[in-house]
Amino acid sequence: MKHVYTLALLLVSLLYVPGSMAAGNADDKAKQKSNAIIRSEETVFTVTAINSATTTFKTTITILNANGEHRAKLYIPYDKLSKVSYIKGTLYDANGKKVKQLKNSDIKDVSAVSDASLFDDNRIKIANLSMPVYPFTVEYEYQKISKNLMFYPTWYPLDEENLSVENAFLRVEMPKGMKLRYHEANLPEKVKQEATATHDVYLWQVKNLEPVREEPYGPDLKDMVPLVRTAPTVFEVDGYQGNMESWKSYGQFIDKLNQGRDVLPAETAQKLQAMVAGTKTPEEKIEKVYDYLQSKTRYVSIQLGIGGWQPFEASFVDTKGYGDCKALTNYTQAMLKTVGVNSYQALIRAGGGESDILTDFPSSQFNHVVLYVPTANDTIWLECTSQNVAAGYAGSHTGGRHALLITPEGGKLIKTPDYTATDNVQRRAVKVKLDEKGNGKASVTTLYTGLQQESRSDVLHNLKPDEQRKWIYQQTKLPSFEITNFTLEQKKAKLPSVTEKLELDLRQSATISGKRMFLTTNLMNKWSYAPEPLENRKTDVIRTLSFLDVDSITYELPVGYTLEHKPQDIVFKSKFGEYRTSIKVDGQNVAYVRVLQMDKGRYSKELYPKYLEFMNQIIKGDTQQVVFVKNIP
Amino acid sequence: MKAKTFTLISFLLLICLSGYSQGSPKKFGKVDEAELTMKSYAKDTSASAVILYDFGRTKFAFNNNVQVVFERHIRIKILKKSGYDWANVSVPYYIQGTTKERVSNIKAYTFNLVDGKEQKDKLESKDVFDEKQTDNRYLKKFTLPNVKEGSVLDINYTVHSDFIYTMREWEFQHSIPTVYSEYRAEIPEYYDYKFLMQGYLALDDTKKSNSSNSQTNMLNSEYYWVMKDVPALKSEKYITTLNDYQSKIEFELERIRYPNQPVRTMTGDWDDVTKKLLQDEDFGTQLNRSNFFKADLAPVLAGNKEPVQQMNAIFSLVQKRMTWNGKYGIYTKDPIRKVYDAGTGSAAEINLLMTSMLLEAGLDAAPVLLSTRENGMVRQGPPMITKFNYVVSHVKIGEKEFLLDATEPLLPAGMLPVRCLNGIGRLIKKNDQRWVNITPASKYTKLFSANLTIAKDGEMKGTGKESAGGYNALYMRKSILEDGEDKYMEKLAKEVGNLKVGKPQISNLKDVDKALDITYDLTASGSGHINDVIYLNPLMGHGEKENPFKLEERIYPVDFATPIDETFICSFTIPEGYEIDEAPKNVAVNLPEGHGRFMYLVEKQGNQIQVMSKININKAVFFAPEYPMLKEFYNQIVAKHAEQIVIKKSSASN
Repeated sequence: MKHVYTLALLLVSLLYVPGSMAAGNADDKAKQKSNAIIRSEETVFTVTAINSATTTFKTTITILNANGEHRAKLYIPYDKLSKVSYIKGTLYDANGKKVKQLKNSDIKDVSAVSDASLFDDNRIKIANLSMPVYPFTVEYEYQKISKNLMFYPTWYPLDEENLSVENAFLRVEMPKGMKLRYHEANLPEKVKQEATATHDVYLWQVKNLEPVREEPYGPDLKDMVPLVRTAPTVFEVDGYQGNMESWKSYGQFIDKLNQGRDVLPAETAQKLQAMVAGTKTPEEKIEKVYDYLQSKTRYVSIQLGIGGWQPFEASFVDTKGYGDCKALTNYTQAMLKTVGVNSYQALIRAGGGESDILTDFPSSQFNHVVLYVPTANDTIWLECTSQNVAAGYAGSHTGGRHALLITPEGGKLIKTPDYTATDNVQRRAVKVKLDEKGNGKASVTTLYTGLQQESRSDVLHNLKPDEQRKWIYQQTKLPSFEITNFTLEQKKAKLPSVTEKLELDLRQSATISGKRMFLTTNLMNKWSYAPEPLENRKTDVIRTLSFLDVDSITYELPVGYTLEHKPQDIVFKSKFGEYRTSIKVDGQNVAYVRVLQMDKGRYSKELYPKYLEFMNQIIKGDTQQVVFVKNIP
Repeated sequence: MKAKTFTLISFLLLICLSGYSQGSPKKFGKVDEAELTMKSYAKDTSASAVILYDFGRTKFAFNNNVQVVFERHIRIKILKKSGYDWANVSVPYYIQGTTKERVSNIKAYTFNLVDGKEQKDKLESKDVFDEKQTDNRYLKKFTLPNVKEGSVLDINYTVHSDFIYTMREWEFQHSIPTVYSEYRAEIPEYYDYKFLMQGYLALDDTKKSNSSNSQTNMLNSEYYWVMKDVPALKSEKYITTLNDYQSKIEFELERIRYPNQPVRTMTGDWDDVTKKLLQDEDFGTQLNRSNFFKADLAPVLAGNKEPVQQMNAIFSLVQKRMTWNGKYGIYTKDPIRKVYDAGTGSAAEINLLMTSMLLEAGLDAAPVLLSTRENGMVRQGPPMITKFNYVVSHVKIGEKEFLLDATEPLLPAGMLPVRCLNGIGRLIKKNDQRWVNITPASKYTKLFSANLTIAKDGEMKGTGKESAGGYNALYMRKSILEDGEDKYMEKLAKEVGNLKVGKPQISNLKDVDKALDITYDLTASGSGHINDVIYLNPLMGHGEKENPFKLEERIYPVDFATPIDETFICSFTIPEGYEIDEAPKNVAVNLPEGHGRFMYLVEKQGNQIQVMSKININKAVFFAPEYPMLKEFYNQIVAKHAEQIVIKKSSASN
């Protein structure tokens, strides 16, 4: 009996599965909504010197289904200023049995030059461990050494939907005497500090995080999950030292990178002087120089090593006629200086959907640079990478956010121009003449301004006329029609506008069934989208665009019809904006006006049903129809 | 799909023996004044840039080893800022172990007219970058200096290649127009290449002559092909891949005949190719491996006696066991035994494995080679084996033939994924090698039905059902599983305007042999007070609202990939005391030759109205001349779907 007992014990120990490798014990609630579970994740960031740090990363992830498959891949980006020391990986099946060990030959090393870039030194190592039977577990570990200490880790282990985290920590080890700066958000537990003989240690840990879900018109996932940003106080990259404690000191560092790179060849300086000879005001000079920039240069991105942060010299751009955002901004600044106009470079986080930077945490949060030109009466923002944007227009790319001005005294935060509903207008006037079959001819004139003119501006500058026509066909929301003629014309200004004129042949613009004629008064600006109602909404409602649409349409009907039904005028006001329609019938003529204004802003989650109601009122309102009956002769 | 190959202008090259002019007619690094002063391209005034001259030449060099040497000289005129991207150049090259390509002799100039004088800027060699994309693929990258509107770019480079079996293709047509494009090839008598022209344009000139190579004492055949005034290539909706429509010439090595050696056939005729493929270690011999799955196969065969049942059972065995790794190609990388154990493999591996099982079961099975829609069309004719990138299984039971692909977990037996629906495939079978038509075994089927009761204020309540079959079911199942069933249902249950969907239920999500059904409650809000007249759009928002074909004309065929069958049936109970005042007229619209049909019927019976709309598109591909009819067909549908029913309080109840 005793004998059998030991055998059983032996069997048990042979079959023993390390808890974290077997997929079975993930708690069921989290499992239901998850495609993958991070069982444990460890990030250790050890600063070894002002210009060197080591990241050791270790993760164990269970993949539950095909939608979680991408987590079985490990991507490690690196460049000239960093090096991957090693990568290890192991694959386990559902029972925790080891299936495969990652071999060096399984690791791919590919170039990661972005599409926007001609050449840079970004590369990625990719490891992939996967099996076709779910669930399975992968374990990865790697170490990376960085010589670019402008960047410290940003940590948020719950980094996508349908993911849960059992256990994760970030450990930052700073040499004694070097201060770590950090910023915490949505953390259940704040930092714990300890010390070793040589280092101060900061530790953050999260446990049992359930999946989050991004909600329609809600904040980014990043703003909903536990997140820690870290940054240095003093740092060095490629021999350049800096201090990030304040925006002022960070600005001084950038200024240092730019030092002495603004020298123009004498010949060019003379040419510029001659060019502005006749001008009277600084504004005219700025315009001349900006025009010259747009005709002479183009955007080509080449970023190598420190070249990711330091511009090419102005003389390089002058001879080659190209450069990236830093190079072209620096060049423009140099040209303006030559003609006696002072300007400042301004770092910014550009992009249509980008959120503003964190103003109370000085750190490297930027991806672009523009030029800020103050004049006696005004300030002018110049986007130096664009071939066609007007001087002074920041638009959706850089408008309405903070930028870091780089001055010799250091950095200073400043806001770029914001665009309100009355800046972003779509004002449309339409005349429609209908025949007996309900077919019609329409002349449509639409003025787009501000952010609402951007897509048309892009089409006007980048597409050929026949492609423009195709694009307008796709954009025009009408059941069936032909464009007989169209024009697009842009007015360049601080607030640019595009006027679009269309001549259309409409098929069955009014529907005739038997003796009746149905006319849906909203011709081509119908709202159709409403998101799903959420029973238990967790996040605020965020609207990011303010706009005003005004449609004025007059219809001329064929003779011989009498009004049977005219819908009531609508006025619907809410916190989110205002929607109004009015319909006037005067004999053969129908005049329709629709006004929709919506404002950007952040609203409490309790207002979500009201927001849906507002959209549904618009959708309903946009189907308003007038009904006529044919007179019996 | 047969007619597709017919409309594409595919013709044999006209070869005539005549004088052969030597050398590139435009000199590199020297531009004409006319090229500099040119302001726009008269034949396409909208062009943002135009290729003035594109010259390529391929020769063979016999030094220590044989190399293919490709020289290119391209001259581009920049007309607008939107054409600046043409100044950024990438030249790809490949390295595979010790077999290498080398890019050399990169030279480029930008020419500008400054104050009436020619200004010439040189590309400096330090501005040429070398990018390692992957272990095998590399790029030489550079951008030209001082590019402005009006610049002329002159670019020259040479590629030395050890890959002698693959001569680079030559593209006559690009996304900008080309004034003159010439390609020359000097091919030693040792090599027999097959030439393949594709596209909608004809050659302007072509010649063949013979010469002797001074380096060796063999004969060269010299060819040249010219196209002039080539328009820009433009994309359209509903196409396979734009590459199918581009004018280009491709080469495939058919035979090698080195002196004092037997002739080596590289592609040859289909009999040879079939025989070779069937003997290939990475293809045909895999079909004879069966020991490893015999134990798994036995119970399946024991449980299914009829051949069709056996076929379906084997299909589902492979489908369940194997996961496609997303890879294409016609050869196996690993033996299917290993693939079977790993549970994952390429399309070729999975379907050759399945074919082997089908054969083992005693069924008349064989592999079929095909080219996916993304990969472009193949043409009937002599073998061009590199054109194929996919393998499926073919089974013949009695007179019936089936095509099977086990890569997709949601696909029923006998149906191929949309990516495979590309006209024809080649059956690789001893004594029965031939082309097989790949016709979609199923349609894109959509059915919407609703039963609604109308109240006196216009409010409607009832139920709705969406049913998806064939390719639509495949598509829906994929998107439901991607979203997750819960999230999908949550998205479905919402209010849009005055229509509200509630309590959705999905059935047959995993049962791929049945239609996928989604049922729900449907309500439409009313006015809140009694209406004398109620206007009703009977398709409940499910009709065609916009014509998918908006453009006036079309150059390429419209390729739907599959036939389409869309049905809407809505039944309404009208409130008591009301009657139908007006309803849309019944219509039937037909496309010629029964290629499409639209039917719209309204039936009234007592207080019930039933509205039925049915759209059938019976073939997958429509050619350019059929486009206006197809467009008009959809115009009629859109117009009819906008029509309304009017219900009125009957005078008797006033």
